Amino acid sequence: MKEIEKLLKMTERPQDYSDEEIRQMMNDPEMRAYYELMVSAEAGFALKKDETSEVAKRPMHYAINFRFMKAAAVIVGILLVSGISLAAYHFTFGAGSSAVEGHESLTQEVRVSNAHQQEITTSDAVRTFENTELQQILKELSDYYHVGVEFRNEQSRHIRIYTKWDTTAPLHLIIDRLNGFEKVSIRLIDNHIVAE
Amino acid sequence: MSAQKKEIEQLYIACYQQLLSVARAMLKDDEEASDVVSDVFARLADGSLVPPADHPESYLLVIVRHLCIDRSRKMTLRERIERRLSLSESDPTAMDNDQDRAREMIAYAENTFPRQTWRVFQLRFDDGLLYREIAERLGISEVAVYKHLAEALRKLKEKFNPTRR
Repeated sequence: MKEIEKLLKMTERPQDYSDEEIRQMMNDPEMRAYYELMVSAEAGFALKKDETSEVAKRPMHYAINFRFMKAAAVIVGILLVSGISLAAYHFTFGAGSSAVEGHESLTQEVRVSNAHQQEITTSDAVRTFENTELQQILKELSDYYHVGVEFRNEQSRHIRIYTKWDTTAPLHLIIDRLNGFEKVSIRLIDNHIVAE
Repeated sequence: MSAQKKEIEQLYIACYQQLLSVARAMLKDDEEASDVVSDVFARLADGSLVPPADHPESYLLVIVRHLCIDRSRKMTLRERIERRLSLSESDPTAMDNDQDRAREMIAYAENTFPRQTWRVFQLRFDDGLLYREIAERLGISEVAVYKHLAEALRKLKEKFNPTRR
């Protein structure tokens, strides 16, 4: 078999090759060059795809002053659940009228963000929530599984979560997963999802 | 809401998706890419990262690239091959050039490869089909798929030899 064909096979099924075989193949400058070309080809196609997607069309322009950055007031929790990384962003608010203003502002911004994200992250069986408020996630679960939703703690509505929802999985498993977040406490009571 | 928190939120909304896209391209793993970007925002939140006032998004992009490179360096050769990550030492400042080169490569392939070779090349490196699936899709043998891909890679090597970079 020609070396280049062996390389092609190895990149498709590296599990069929020993570490030594892989190392030897990659020590050959010619094979390594072919391998790097494959990597570049995949990258090139991915870039082409990205450039026609909504993500790339959205400019990353940003003009803010970061003079206040040091005293950030955001609580960030990052957890590992079943080998899958989940991140929850919970923005806390101070007391008084400024807290209300902040709350409204956050809600508005998230709405814009989510409208965009839903467009690019929904697949057939797995729905990806990125930076999505708990209230929106539970609303979708409620519609899908035909159960009610009750928030006993209003603040928990605005916990933002990154997670994936396998729509073929039963509701109790989804709730177990969501409970993996530090800030989330959800139970299924009498056909209602209750967030505390 | 405090000015600091609002600034982080604005930055998050403005940059999160694009940073995630960069991390995905570099690590070829959605969960790990999310970890990296989350880590950057966690560092912003605890004050251990302080972006410059001008163009904080460029700063975050460089940080994400560095974190992805760090993760790649910790992978075994097998892990890199499995994900088809580059084995070259990445330089975050040269990545824009690498991307230009990758775009140029695809344009060259599309314009110069014979039609069937281009189709095989596209099905493999764009659609990610297995060789067997490509053979079935195009009604050719698996051996023919290897021949088309080998030919495609030889042509690319003549034009874009990575060792001459």
